[in-house]
Amino acid sequence: MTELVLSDLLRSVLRGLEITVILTISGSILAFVCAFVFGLGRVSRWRFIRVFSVCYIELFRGTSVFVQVFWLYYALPAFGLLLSPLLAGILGLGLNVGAYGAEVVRSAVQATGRDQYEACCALNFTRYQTFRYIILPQAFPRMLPVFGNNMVELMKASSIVSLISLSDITFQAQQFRIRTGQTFLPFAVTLIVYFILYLGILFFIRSVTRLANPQKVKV
Amino acid sequence: MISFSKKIKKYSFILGISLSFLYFIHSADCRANGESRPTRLEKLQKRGYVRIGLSNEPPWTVIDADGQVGGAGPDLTHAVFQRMGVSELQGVLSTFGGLIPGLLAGRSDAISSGLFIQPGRCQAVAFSEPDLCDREAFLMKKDMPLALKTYRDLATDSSLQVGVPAGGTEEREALAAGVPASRLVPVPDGPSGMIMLLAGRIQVYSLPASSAQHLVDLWRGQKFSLVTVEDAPVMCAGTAFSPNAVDLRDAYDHVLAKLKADGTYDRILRAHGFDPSLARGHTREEFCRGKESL
Repeated sequence: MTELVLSDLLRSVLRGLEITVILTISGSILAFVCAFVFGLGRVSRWRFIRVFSVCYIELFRGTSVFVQVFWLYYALPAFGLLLSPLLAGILGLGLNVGAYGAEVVRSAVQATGRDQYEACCALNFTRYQTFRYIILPQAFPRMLPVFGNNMVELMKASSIVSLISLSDITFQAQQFRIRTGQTFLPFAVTLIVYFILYLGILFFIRSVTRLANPQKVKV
Repeated sequence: MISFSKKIKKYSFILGISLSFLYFIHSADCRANGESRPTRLEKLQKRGYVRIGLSNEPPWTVIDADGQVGGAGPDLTHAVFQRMGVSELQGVLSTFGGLIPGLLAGRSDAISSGLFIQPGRCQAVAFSEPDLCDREAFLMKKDMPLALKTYRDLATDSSLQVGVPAGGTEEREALAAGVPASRLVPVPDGPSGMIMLLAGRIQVYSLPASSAQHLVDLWRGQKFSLVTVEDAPVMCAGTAFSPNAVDLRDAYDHVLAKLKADGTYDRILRAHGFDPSLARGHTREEFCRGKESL
């Protein structure tokens, strides 16, 4: 009996883990891209791109990710756009966390000293060259710790996708509770699994930080 | 002068954007509402499966570890759709509160998860004739010296915290009997309700009798008492369809009536511990109208 319950729990958690990991990785990639596109968009020379980026950032930072995912899944079909649950989840999480990331990119870029820009100007670098070879190599390592935070936030926020019929770990734990009436076991396992995922992200960010160490950047 | 014309440009730009957005929403709405599909059933037959919105509510709906769908509601719906020529049933799992939004968003073709027919829901979805009916019950700890039999009893004892399923019909019934909203505690799912009872967060848990029986069986080590509520009417669930799929609903009703006549209906309900006689004599009309008495 106990073995049956344990194998049931194990199967549930593994199935949920798959969804959570897919969401975290795909969501983080989307968030990373959004962070750079809109973070740099905010400091663009063209007014239209600046306005557009600000609109995106404030819209997604200023509303609940819970409601955003709900909207993508339940409200968009009324406009004729039927996203799959997984895609809706990835979009919701990625766009939301990407908005936070965009502010990180902007602040890291703006925190780079004015002298750097002036030096580039003196060397007659184009704007692209300035960013590609001088500004970003200095700004990028500064973004990493905050990106790591954001990624952990995204991983934990992924539990809201149970709203849109995706069976992530939290949802599977709930289903297990309803099936068996046990509460302590599924939630204990869920906590541990989330913590292991967190350690994985921590390790990943540490490795990237080591690669992008500011000391090793040759200016 | 220049700044003035700039301003006009700016405002007309904003106006243009918002107007086109409104137009977009409006036209999308029209599309969503105006579509008519005379051949919904044929489409399902061609596709070979029907998507049923579910939430895990044993014994109404049971989902096992591998995601296999069972329980009284889905089994009955499956039997009906098989007779209609749609062989396979696919479950779309969501929370109880996400069932109707999912149906309206086209995520599922129908809901069969113990969704009670009631006036508010009849506005949003098209119900089939009643299929699963149940009485209401109170769950209490056995050592509590409470003689509760009706919702009015709950109203008179002001020390009681009453757990009701979140989004369920019990909340309305209790409010109608005079239980103040401040003493009603929404319970997200069965096991949570049991733990709240054990921890003393609530003293009474009001829920459909078959769900209550299931929970008591699950907690067989603990002592709970189950009381059938006397002043609550029999509630019936129906299979819910999108409001623009009334033709599909009618076809469903037709087959459901046949199953009720030939005994298949009784067999499926008994297998899951439901009383097949409760649904007889009740109609969708009656539940959608709501009860003037009581």
